[in-house]
Amino acid sequence: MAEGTAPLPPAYAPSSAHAHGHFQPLGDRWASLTPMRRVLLFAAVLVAVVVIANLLAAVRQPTSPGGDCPSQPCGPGSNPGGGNPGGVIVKPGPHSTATALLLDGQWKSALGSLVEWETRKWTESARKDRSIFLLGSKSEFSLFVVIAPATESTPEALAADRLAFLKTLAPDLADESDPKRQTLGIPMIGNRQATASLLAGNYTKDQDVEPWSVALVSAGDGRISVVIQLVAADAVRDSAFKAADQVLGEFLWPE
Amino acid sequence: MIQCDRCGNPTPPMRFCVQCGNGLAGAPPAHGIRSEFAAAPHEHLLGLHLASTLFPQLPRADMESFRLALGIAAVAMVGLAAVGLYPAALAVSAVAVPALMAIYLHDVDVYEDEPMLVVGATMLWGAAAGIVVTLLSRAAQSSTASVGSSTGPTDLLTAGFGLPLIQLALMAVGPLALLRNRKFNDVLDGAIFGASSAVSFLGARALIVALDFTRAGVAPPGETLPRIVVLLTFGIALPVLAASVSGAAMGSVWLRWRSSLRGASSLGVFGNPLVAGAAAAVIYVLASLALLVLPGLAALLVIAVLGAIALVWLRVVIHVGLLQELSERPIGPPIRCANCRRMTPHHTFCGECGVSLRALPKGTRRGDPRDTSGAMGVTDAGAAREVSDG
Repeated sequence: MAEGTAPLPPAYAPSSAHAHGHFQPLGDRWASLTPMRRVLLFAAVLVAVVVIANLLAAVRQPTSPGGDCPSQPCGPGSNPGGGNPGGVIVKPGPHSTATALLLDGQWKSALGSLVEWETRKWTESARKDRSIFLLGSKSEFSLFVVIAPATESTPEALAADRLAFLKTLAPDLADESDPKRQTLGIPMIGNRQATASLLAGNYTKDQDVEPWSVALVSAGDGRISVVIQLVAADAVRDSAFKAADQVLGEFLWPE
Repeated sequence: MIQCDRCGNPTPPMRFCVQCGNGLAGAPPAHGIRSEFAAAPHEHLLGLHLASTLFPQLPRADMESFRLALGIAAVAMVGLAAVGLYPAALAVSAVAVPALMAIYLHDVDVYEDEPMLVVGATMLWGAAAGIVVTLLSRAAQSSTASVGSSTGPTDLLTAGFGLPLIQLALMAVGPLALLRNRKFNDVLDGAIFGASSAVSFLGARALIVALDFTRAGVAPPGETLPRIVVLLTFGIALPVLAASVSGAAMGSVWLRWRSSLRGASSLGVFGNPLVAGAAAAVIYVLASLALLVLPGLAALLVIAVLGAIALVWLRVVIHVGLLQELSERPIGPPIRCANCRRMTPHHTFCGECGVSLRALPKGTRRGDPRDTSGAMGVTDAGAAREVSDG
């Protein structure tokens, strides 16, 4: 370091940039909160957020109607009323004329199976030889039907494929643990017994998280294997399952 | 007085040059950019330090409480998720970083007597833009509509490129509105405005998600570990990344158009605001693509790496900005440094700890219990003599 001869300069006047109020030199200023108060304030904010979120969740929590048969899904033998209160995978009743008139959407797969739906409830989004994708009202739920020759894939393998794909969108997808949301009775696709998995998880893609309810129903008749995937925003679970129930019930296997 | 080897200006014989922050006592002569971070000289410039980068105007002692607060937030998220209270954990992840930033803005008095203007153009603007963009994007594309097939080219274009670019542009609008105000003339101002706007944007977005989630009940079913990954991604990694790229880009803008000093040449091409904006967009888009196409943990890791790069970038912008605040004014009277609490002549850097005096709170707390001098002003004549005689 080279020794200089210049004396320490005298104090200077405050710059115009800091002329408002009393002058306080840079560096001689302090944070307005003590560390303890700052941490306590932050912790209080978090506690308030937790309390409010839990209160909101408690208020908005979906409730299941009472009675012998919860909101869904009800299967044959478990529904005292004999009807379907709104769910998937129930054994279909006779195909009434009135119902047939309502089913104004149709897709026949390259393997001979037939899927029918009401266009006022479902919008066809995409169709291929072996799959069709339907969107429910306001796109809050969707139904994906995949068919494969039994020689190419089993129903279980088709369902496992769908589950693996869904887990890329909702990594925490797991079996539905709510006892009020379990399958009651025998799951069916058309007139054939099926295997059903009810799942819950959270869609987490593109900076978004949304609670999902998922049903994977699969069956086979020895010639074809079928998996039907229902994905619904949790808030519209009941109405989605009810709408899907009709499509599953009206499924026609190849003759 | 002695002459500093680096800047050539006179400085009292202390540990650091009060004009350029160069280490003097026993340190080998340094040339080029000094390696100690100007806002926290005890840290290396290229070190990964969250608190001193996102909250650079805090004195050293105060940074500990911000680190502690961040730790509390992370523990709260993980703990709530572990006991199944996922909606509450999501709400905490949405609020934690923006709340810390709000406390910081108040704490160091970034407002320069215009709190409504600053808060409105940064945090409120960011939150409002975040809410609008989130609601619009959700209305345009339902998550349940995406389950029929894998992510397609259209999804990549809209969610991977288009939406992130719109988000980044909106985050910048509020801070840029403050660029016209000559009161905010420090590079630090621009960096903090950019970071504040970004964290409140993402916080509002996450809050909407959390609110939506409350419809599923207090403890909706689901696996815990993937949820913790989501919380850490959306609650910490992504806000830090967004704050860093937005802060660095805004810092470059301020360096170019608001800082009164010697240009942004030290940042190389990144001193050009257009290049800085493009770099910010690339990093943010890569993070969005990672969220779109990678599984949760891999996406978190990619975002953490990108966030680390962005954090170092922001550090360098702040550092260069502070060094370029070298002024040609004379050395002033002694003051007590808020960082090390020792007396130093008033200029650009503390002669004792080397911190940039601009990287300290703008406000004043009267009767600070840590100030043992009994005076917060510039009246410590004895110390002044010690400094000048030294």
